[in-house]
Amino acid sequence: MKPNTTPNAASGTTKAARGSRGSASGKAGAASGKTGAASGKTGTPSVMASASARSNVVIRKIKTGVAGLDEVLGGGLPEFSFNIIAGSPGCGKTTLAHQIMFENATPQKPALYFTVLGEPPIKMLRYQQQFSFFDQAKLDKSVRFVNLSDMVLRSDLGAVLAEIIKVVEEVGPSVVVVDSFRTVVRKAQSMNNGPGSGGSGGSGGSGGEVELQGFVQTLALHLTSWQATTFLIGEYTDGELRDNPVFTVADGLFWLYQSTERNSIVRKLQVMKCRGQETVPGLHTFRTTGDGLQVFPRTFGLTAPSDKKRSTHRHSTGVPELDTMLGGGIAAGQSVLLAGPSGSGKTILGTHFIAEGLKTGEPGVIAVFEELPNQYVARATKMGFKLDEARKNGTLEVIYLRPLDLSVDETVNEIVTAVKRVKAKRVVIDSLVGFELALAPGFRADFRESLYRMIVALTRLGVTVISTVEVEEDFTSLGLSNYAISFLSDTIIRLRYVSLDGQLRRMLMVVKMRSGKHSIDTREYEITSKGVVIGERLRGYQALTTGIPGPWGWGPARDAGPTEGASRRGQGASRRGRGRDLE
Amino acid sequence: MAAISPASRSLARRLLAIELSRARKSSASPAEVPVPPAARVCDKLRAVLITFAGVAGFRSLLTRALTLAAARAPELKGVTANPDASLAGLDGVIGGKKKAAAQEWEEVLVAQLLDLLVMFVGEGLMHQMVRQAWPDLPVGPLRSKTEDKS
Repeated sequence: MKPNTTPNAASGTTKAARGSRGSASGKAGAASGKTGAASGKTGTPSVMASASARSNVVIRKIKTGVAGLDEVLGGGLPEFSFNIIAGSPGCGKTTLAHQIMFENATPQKPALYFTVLGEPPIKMLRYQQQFSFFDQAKLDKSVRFVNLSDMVLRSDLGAVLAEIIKVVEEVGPSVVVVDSFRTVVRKAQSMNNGPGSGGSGGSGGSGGEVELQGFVQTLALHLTSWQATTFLIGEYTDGELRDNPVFTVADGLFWLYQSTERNSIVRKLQVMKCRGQETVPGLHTFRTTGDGLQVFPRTFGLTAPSDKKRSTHRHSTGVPELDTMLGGGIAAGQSVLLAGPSGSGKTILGTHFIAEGLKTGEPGVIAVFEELPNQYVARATKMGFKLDEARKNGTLEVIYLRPLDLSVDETVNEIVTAVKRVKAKRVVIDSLVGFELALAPGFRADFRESLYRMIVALTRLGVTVISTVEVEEDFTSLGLSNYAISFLSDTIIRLRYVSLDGQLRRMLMVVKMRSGKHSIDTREYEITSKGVVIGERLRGYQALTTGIPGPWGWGPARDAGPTEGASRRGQGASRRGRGRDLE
Repeated sequence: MAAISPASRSLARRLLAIELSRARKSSASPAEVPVPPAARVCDKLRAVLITFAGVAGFRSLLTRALTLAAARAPELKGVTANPDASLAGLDGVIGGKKKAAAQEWEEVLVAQLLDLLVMFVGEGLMHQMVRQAWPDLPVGPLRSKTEDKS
């Protein structure tokens, strides 16, 4: 067993207890009086106790071995708890139980895995050993599989119970799993419904229910007194939750869901019940990879203490004239929205920003959704940005997120993990449109909330974030983005095509900046082989922001006939989702 | 039909030799009809495997091994698996046959069972199961990859 405690906690006294209360050895000290004292970090005392009673029992928390799950559980699983893992077939119940088992089993305190009538054990071993957590060396000495299927078929419920108790008493395990417990329940029901059974004949017959409840109670009592943390695995539907006595007896109830949204599969976990724990409520998405389950807590990045320090430092964008327009650069720890139409140079400006950081020793992360990292880097290299070198020396990560069924939490997790890995100071998200497409359809409906969570999680880490967003050009107004998300951005830089003197030219402007004064100029810029080069302020025109300006003194731009270039582009322009109109 | 791997053949030979030797030592009198070594090997594997796979699970594996083995050694067609997953009829098949032929059939049967285990649960777990059944086997690889290549 590996309780998520320090050695002191294991002996019944936490560091916090000694520090804050000086309670007698062996007594449970209240770790600041909050169950959340267990931060889920290794080595943190994770003992729950009421602040008001020093002699309360110490409930230790054991690690689940599932990334993100301990955070959802409020620090780990309560030791000696009696839990149910429920869900439909194929949603990951067995894998979850195996992860917990392999995490905690030792030769001194082994784990017992009883298989009843479910997945044939040989096949289960065949598939489970594909996961990285499956440690063959632990089999037999630390992890033992016991097959009860013959007994379930042959004997009554009492014999099954007796066998479980017998083996548990012999082995003295730390973790016990019964998979699939549903079969045991059906056995109980069939016994009561069978001819001559004297049962009521219905699945809800009182005889069957009482016997089943008795079985569960006895099993729970025995396993608890044998100091084992227990898991019953079963295939249940939501509707069964009300009537089944098993759920009443259980200390913990973990429900796994698997839903199809258009062509995407989304898996979610809910901790419906966890006695004595301050869990994170709600549905948390999870993914099954070669490492097993990984849970993405829905509060990921939003609850941890902020690393953001007040800083007056400004990051250069890598384009000197843009820095000037921004009053010296982008304020550290802020979020910038780079909005513009296709081909306007958003990606290149993002690359400038990252490359400049790398030059000054600030690691970066680029999250790309629309092209592969190697393509992105190759294009940057052609322009003279040395991203490849930075990737090799570990100061830059270019991560590709495009599986089309991502959850927001998963995306945030990927980016935040990369930020922490390279100790990034700068992040570019290219682009928000790609991000939206990468999400499973169900999450796209809450895209604004998703962006909020992502930007907040990143800026709380103190990194400076540039997000690019494609804006469909409109020749009568100046949209900032299609998402109405400008409230999330401290700074907005707008790139725009403009029709001037029979040419389709580019201009940029700083629309908003929370951290100080910024230029109000509209500046022309060019995309050269070396990147973005900003030119002079565009003078002598009116209605520049419409994209079809005219000279001062000329009639209102909107009344003028469109220029050649504007006409061509205007035909394809859509008004879909137009954002805030500046004009 | 896939060939039996040389490594499984070699391991089967070792296990059969161990069990033959033990059967001789434990035999009360020379007149006593010894349990065939292959039956002893299967029985030891059975004891380990039914713990987690159940009687039905092991019986299905053994039945498959018998089918595959009988395709190579038709004399084994008379051998079956009892409801408790022990072997039935092996002594009748090999009794009175030439020693070399009997050894070959037993080897085919055990090797086929080992091959099935490798196929389903992998080399590593098969080794663990064999070591559980024969804890005194010398430390070191039970099946060498070179044998499979040969």
